[in-house]
Amino acid sequence: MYCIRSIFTLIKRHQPITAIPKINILKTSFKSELSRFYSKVIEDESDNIINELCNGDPEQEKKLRILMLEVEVMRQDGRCAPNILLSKHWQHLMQLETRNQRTKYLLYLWKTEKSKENQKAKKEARRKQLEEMPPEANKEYPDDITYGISERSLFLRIRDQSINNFDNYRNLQAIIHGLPIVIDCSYEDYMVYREAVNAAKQMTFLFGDNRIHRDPFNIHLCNVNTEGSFMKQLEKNIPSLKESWFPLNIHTKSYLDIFPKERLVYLTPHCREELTKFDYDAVYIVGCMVDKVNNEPLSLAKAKRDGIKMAKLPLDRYLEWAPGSKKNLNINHMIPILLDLKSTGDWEFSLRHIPRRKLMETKILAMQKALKNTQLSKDEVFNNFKKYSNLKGISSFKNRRSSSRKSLYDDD
Amino acid sequence: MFCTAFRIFSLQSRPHKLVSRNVVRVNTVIGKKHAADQLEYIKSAAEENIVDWSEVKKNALSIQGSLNSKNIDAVLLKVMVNVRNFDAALSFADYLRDTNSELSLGSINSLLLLYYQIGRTEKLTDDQKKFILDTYKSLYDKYTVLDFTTCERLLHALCVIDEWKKAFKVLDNIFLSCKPSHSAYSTLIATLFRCNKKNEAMKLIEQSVSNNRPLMDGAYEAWINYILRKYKDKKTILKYMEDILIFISDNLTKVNAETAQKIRHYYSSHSWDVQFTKIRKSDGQCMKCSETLDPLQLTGEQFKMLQENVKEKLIVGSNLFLKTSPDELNRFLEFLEKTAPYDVVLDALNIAYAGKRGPMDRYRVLNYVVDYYSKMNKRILLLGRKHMLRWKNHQIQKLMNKTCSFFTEDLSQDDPFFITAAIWSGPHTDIVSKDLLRGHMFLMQDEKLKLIFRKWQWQHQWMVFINKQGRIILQEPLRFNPYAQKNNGSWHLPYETEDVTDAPQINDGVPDLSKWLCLRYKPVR
Repeated sequence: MYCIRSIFTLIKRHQPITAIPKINILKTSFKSELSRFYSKVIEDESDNIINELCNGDPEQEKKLRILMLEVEVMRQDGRCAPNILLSKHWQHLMQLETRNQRTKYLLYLWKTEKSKENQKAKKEARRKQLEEMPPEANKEYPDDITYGISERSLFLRIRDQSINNFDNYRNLQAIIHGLPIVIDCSYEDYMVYREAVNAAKQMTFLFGDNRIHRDPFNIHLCNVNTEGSFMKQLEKNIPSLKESWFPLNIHTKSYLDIFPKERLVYLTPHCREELTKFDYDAVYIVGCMVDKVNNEPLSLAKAKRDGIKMAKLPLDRYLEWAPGSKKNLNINHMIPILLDLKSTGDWEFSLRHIPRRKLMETKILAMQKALKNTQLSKDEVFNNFKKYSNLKGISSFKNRRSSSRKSLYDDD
Repeated sequence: MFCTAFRIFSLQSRPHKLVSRNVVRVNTVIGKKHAADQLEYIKSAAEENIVDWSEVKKNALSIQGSLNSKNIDAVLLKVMVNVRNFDAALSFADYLRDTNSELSLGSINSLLLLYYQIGRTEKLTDDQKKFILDTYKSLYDKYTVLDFTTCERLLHALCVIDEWKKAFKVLDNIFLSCKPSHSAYSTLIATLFRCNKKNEAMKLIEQSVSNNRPLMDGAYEAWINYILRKYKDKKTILKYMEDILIFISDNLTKVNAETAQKIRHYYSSHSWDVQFTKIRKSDGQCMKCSETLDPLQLTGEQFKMLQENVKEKLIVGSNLFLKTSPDELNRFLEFLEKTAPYDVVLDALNIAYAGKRGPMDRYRVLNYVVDYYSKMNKRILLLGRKHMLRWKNHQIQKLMNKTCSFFTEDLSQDDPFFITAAIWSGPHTDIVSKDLLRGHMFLMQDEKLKLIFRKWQWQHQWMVFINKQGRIILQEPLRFNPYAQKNNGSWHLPYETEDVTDAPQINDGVPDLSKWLCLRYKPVR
């Protein structure tokens, strides 16, 4: 059943006109027709893609043909590869160097394809369910009035567009009166495609979070590469980004050309200086970078090279971090922290934007849960604890906290 | 405290993980996670004697999962091969060939896999051999180039029927999409030895090693068998067997336990005294034969290569500002010019932080180490960061009187500096640090350079440990070459096993000295 349905969808996608006569054939002599049908479609399509991507370059064509074969074998082998690949996907696949990278990318595409399929199926089921549901409360007499929101309501409907305009208005005010903040987008070369897309997503969230705040920042994107995948993705997320009225400053210039150097402060987790309070005269710079692959202290190097001041958030003073959590924050956590800090000056309150999973309290809860559900006996747990733990030299959080307050990076 | 408790849990679950890892290794080729129920059914179904394969297929497809009509054939076959149910697999293969006029690529691949696995232990029938050859021909007729998976399967299958010339062509094809796997190289090498093509085999071995694909057990086995088959005279056999050992020592590889067993078996049957042994850490003495391993040495040329590369690779790298600044680098270079050479370079912060009981303890450890070397009249360079200058009671100033000293900025990294200082100072300079320097070794990029760095590190690195009583222990550098070698007519080979020990251990940078093979010639009386 599933397989017939998948053929249906395939037919719908590729040959909408010839679909109807083919179904009958498929139902009767299902197997032999099946294999031919697949190969035929793929050949037609693949030739088009090869022409489009390779421009007659024989080396490229060879590579692409091998890739196509690789994917086809993966499909038939039971490994995870999507059924439909567009030419942009092939282009990305060609750029990937190792087989492992390709497999991972294909798995990602396969998962998206499946989740779309599932969503569609769910929607279909819901639709059917709605059709079968009895119509709402029968009227006793034909001229009865039905009450409720769907019929009549006291209030005017507020549309999304109005909300959008309202938020943008506040953002426009910030452009005139608000404090400037710089998002440094110069790290795109150090990110892989996936990270650039993630960064664009964070940027989108950040834009939204900023404009719904009571007193938003005037955001400047600096060092923007307009051709890069970050900007392309951001445009996809915010279609009106390039309109002249759009309340966001986008510069291809460096922040050094826009603001006086003395006022700039680079916020980087790699430096030793801690930010103690919000300086209303300073222009803070936040690096827009997802550093899952590349762990080098790039923002530190950049600030050092430009010779501007650096600071990091006093994360250790106010929060107890779980072991192993990284202290580099997403930009869409960073900006709300600064927003709150600006308006309240309260660090404890501002740092609530840090994801809870990075903190010790979550670890303790998880730990308690694990202890509750463990199959080991109590003695075993204690024995293991004695065996593996090195309790010497671990001071309590309180002590650590006081020492970190005393000095920032002296050793004693 | 909680972090340690967490570790206990993770350690507890480790045995399970190990078990499941083994299972996954067999099934890597199937997206197991997404079709668990279906695979479960197929496995249980394969154990019964089945005649009606269409029924099995239909049932498997009716279960929810990622298997569909397109990949079910290949997966069915692969699952049966993986659980070594060859009878069922063969019957399904017949079914496939009967029902389909044209096999799909996926099922061809699985059939090749099946024939390879069968062919490893028994002879294939003519029909099966013909299938492999026909497949080879038809695949290359249809597609001029093949993808990685098909190539690998085809190569393995061709090797089973000793068609090494064709396998070579397939091997070349693999390079179009990626590097061939360990198994592809080793299988082909084994086949070449089986077909008595030693010259080709040796060439391919060289290629395999240079592509970072050390030989697997099968290749060594075939090599040994080839020698035993070809030569009858005992002395010539011994001479050629030694070639294998020379190959191992030249390439600085470790053989795995099975190969070690085979070598042991051969040599002990030829009146050699072969024993598993351990090497003593302090001086490199073999515990069985009391022979001492050769001292570790870098040639002048190798050391020069290291000297030329170390600054560029470790300090400058892709961006000078990541680790230091131009001013600081110049300051450092001037300093080196003025004060070099040294006998020993101390990674001050690393040594100090071996002391875990506060600032006084840190000073105690560092002071102990400095005194240790100054008593030996060594010229010492103390390398730290500037914040050390603010230690209380002018502790650091006291140390500075006894040593040369250089302090980097707080924002700079000090490790690259102390390594560079030591290497530039000359081939006799030692370093003191508990750091294993793996990250820095990686930055050397070039495989050859990495190895030289590794050797240099073994040769010169002292480490500071503190035992439970609080006593400071200085671990000396390695005095001997930890690779396979011949000393006074006897051979010593390291080997590796796959087992993982559960107990936590301190990694002190010394290679495993407990798994060695000692081969000694026993004169016949």
